[in-house]
Amino acid sequence: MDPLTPGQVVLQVAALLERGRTDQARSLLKPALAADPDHTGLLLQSAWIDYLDDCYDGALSTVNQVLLADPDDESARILHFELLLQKSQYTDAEQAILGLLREYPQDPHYYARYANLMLKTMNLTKAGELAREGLKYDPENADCLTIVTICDFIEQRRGTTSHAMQQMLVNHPQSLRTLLLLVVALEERGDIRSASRVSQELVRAEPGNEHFVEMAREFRIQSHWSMLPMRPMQRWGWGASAAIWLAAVFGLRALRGVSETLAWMFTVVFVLYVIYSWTWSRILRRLL
Amino acid sequence: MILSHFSHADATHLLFNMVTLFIFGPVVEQGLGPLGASDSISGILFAAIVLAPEMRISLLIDVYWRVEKGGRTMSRDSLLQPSLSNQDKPVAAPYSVQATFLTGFFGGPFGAIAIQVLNSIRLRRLTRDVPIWTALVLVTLAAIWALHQTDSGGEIRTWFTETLGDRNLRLAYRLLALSFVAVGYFLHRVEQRSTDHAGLTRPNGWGAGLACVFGGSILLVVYVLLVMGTK
Repeated sequence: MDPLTPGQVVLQVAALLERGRTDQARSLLKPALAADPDHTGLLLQSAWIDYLDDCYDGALSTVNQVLLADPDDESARILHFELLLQKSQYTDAEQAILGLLREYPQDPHYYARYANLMLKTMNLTKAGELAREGLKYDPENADCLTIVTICDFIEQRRGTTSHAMQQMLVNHPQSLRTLLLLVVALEERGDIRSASRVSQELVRAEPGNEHFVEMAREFRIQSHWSMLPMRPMQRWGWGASAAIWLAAVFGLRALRGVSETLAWMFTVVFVLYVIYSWTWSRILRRLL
Repeated sequence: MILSHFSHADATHLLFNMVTLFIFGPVVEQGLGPLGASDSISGILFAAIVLAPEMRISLLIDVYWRVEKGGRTMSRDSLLQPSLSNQDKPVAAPYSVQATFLTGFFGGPFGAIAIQVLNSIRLRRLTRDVPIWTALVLVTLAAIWALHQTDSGGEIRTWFTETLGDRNLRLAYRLLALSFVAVGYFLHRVEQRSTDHAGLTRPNGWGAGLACVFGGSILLVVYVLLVMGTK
């Protein structure tokens, strides 16, 4: 059998990477790259593998090599931007994505990528505007809809949130990203049980995804029946803690006027509740 | 010519004209091109009515959006202008709500303010927040002074003691601190939520929190002793 040409290797590696098989892709690439170490297509695939394996320094060095040979390579420029974003080199990342946007001003994916950068640097208004600009060119673009939904979550615009979520549910019902956004929306509403059920669907769809597994586990713990006394804190956060503390202080004072024994019992129960609130979810994490 | 455009009957007159220019000016400028700063306000108002009869006016919201959010919508050209610069340090994720809550709970009002100031520094918005933190420090200093130095403060202390027993003042300081934590959360809520939803890594709050707890507690005790000593 004839050995694969570099072009064929690039195609096969890209197909493997789409399925998340980085180890296989690396083994396939290694001999091809040894035979032709300056082939930009092979080098770029090698950089993508490093990026997917979280080896950002190696990936950046390789992608810079590719860009030196071919500064207009779109895929290399996208990867360059993503690497700068991962390495928190935000100013350089902005220059990289602006370069792409100036060349492709009607590509919604680049608006979404720029919006993501703006989200990470807390320029929330610009992030939302960029995503909405991207939606002008493709109203169903999942990347842009995701950013708009996240902006709505952050600004707690519940009405708009449901609209953006509806768009995702209508246009991308099979997308894992839609399910992920649904989990966040349910958690925001305090519906931990439903969030737990949807997160289990995510795990079923992608059992190898550590992030999904950890998230589903956390929701399972939070929705366990023994966590019911923690419900006020789950729903209203530290505001509920402050309210419970204040109620306990005044309740204790009131009980002291009635009976010292009752006040003592109340103190014990309250202290136990405090200990439970700090420790039980950690214990449950080990048990489940 | 200059006088006729700069003379106003009173401050309200001037304010109204400024607000009108602020809201309708951009609409007219977009339709007719730049007009120059001294064009007649009423001319701009009527031109806006002709150019954008369906324009909705919501004064407070509009002013808020323009000042706080940098404009309701941005044109594509302005969207494609860089927002980050090499000179400015990037915004860093703030200490968590848990860290600020616990610091306020154990560190008192000064501890609560201290951790919020650290958050303002991390979020690169200290200049914007300084008036609020200064006001809260002054409120704390004045409240403690009034509690110990005035007759009505004495009456409040008596009421607290009758209602809550011996630990009343500690409770009062803690409540004040928690209300400051709430103020801080309200100020930084978008950044706090952005941090969670954008998946940014928060700093470990233990070191800063403990420093603020100790520093805040010492400051509170020293100030209370000073105030009580001057009585």
